[in-house]
Amino acid sequence: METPVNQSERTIRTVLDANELTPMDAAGVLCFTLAVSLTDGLWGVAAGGFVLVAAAASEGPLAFVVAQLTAVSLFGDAGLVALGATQLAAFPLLASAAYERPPDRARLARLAAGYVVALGVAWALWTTLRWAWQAALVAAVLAAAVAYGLHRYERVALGLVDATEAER
Amino acid sequence: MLPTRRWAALAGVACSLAVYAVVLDEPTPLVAASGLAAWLVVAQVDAVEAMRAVDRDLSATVSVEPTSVFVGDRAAVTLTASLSEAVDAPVEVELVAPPSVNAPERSRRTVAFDPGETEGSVTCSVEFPVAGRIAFDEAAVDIEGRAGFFTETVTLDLDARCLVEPPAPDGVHVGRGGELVGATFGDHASDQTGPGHVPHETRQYLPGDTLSQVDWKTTARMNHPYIREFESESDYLLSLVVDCGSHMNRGPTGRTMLSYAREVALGLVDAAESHSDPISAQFVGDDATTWEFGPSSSSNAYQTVRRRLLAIAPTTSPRRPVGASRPVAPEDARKRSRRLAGDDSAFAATLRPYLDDGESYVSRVSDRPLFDAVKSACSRSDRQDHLVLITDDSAKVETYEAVVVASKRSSQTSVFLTPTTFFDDAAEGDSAGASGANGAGDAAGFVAFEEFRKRLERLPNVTAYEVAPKSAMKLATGRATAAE
Repeated sequence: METPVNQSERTIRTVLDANELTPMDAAGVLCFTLAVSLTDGLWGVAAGGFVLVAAAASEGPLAFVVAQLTAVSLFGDAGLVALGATQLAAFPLLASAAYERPPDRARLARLAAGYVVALGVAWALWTTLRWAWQAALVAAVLAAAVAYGLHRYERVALGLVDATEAER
Repeated sequence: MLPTRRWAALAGVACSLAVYAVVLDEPTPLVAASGLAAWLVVAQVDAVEAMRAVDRDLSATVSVEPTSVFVGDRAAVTLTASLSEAVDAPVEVELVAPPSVNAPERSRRTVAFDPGETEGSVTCSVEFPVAGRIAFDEAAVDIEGRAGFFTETVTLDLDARCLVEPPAPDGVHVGRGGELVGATFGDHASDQTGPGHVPHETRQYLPGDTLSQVDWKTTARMNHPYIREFESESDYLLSLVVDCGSHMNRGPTGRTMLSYAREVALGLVDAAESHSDPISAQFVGDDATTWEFGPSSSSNAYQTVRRRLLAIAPTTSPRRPVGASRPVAPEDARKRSRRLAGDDSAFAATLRPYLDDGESYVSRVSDRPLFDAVKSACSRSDRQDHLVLITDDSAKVETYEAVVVASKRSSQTSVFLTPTTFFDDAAEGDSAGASGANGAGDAAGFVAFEEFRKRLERLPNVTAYEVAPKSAMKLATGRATAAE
């Protein structure tokens, strides 16, 4: 016999399982729709609707990915302002996927800072390096290096590195 | 820190976007890929933070009850874990079971914390199939990042131990009426002079003494013939009759009545060997003697008997039909019958047929294997012998009659009895899941046993001992003392 579950109890897991649309999802969809409809009119509204469906039907940052793909389709040759506005408008979708519950400010600020830095680095690489593949490769290597650095830091912080491993 | 499938899927999407940017030669997918990568890195930072918090705030204790068991027993192991501060990530604390125990599946020995919870405990039942000192000294803590992209397993030191002892009789009590006694067999000082090796005394020569008895040194010193006398040594034939019927299988595995009987028998064989006493042995099953040996005093004889004792197993036939009632000698029965002669009451009429039976108890038990074995052990000896009967008190009539025969035909008879009441109680306790020492039986059962033992001791040349677990005996004698 199954134990009755208290439906009013909200945890990360229950929200993930229920896959509810959060206020941040709504804000993200709205911002994104506004940003793309300003540049592309009705196509932008249609793209917004498409992202809304993705946000409602999927979990994690899939809505963000869909938004980026529709933006790529709509902006053949986007300027910095349009690109920046779209990316900032898509940020709530990412924040929603990371923190279904209202996140504390520090965490939200950390995500926002990381996002802005990443966008800045990507734009800088794109404009600085001659070839697209160079920019993509450097961006991938940078992300991997940061992830690996965090992994090593975690191992040391938790005392999981033994003496022989540390000497190597 | 291990990434999960979800992380791999999103990292794949980010890489695909980067490749897409290269293919299209457009910055938008690369910017999207960077945003996604930033998101994954921030999720990793969150996970590291949660893992450090768990590592810092989590404490766990484990307790084992009871802390001392026998092989095959079970113990309850309780794992209690607590977080000094709630963390925003799922945590699971798993009791790592040593390889030498049979532990339940992982979920039944794991304390799971949902985000926000700070305390939890789990109790599981663990079986110990191997003897030794078993340590529960490690718990594995599985921590998952709050977004479910990373997991990590760290270990937590615990300190709980359980002593698992082999299923052998522990603390064998051999005594008389609760008083411990020691066994003395072998090259027995007879306090008589005669041929031997141990010098006893010197005395002046008397007519009739042989020349070989003269102690020349003393004679020279005293200037008068002196005789050196030696203490004569006697050896007893140790006739061992061990009851290994199915009724001797009472008690928990490894601590049955037969196990205790075997310990006594092995001790007697050792004593006989150390004193070079000849030995004969008979193992008696439910229906007949199952093994017979000797008499022999060769060096192999002791080893043979010892080996057979170690391999002995109770027979599996149903219990012996001979009653376990208190024996009444035929003479007593006839006396009581005479007293009922003039009584016309219903009570006397009912009782009379039972007392009219003039058949001797000896004839009733004459075909019983234990009685037969004792009789044949007595008839084999043409010298001083020491008959040792090791059995229980379940068939009192047969045992009593066998000891009567032994007391008449043997120089010395020792009876080692295991009180059934102790082992019935222990077996029930064991089947109910209890573990530890044997039970102390019921008071009435022990009193009946003691009466029977004393009755045997009243026979000439007979010494009757009780053989029981020390702990049970202590309990029983304690109860008896308290009752007095």
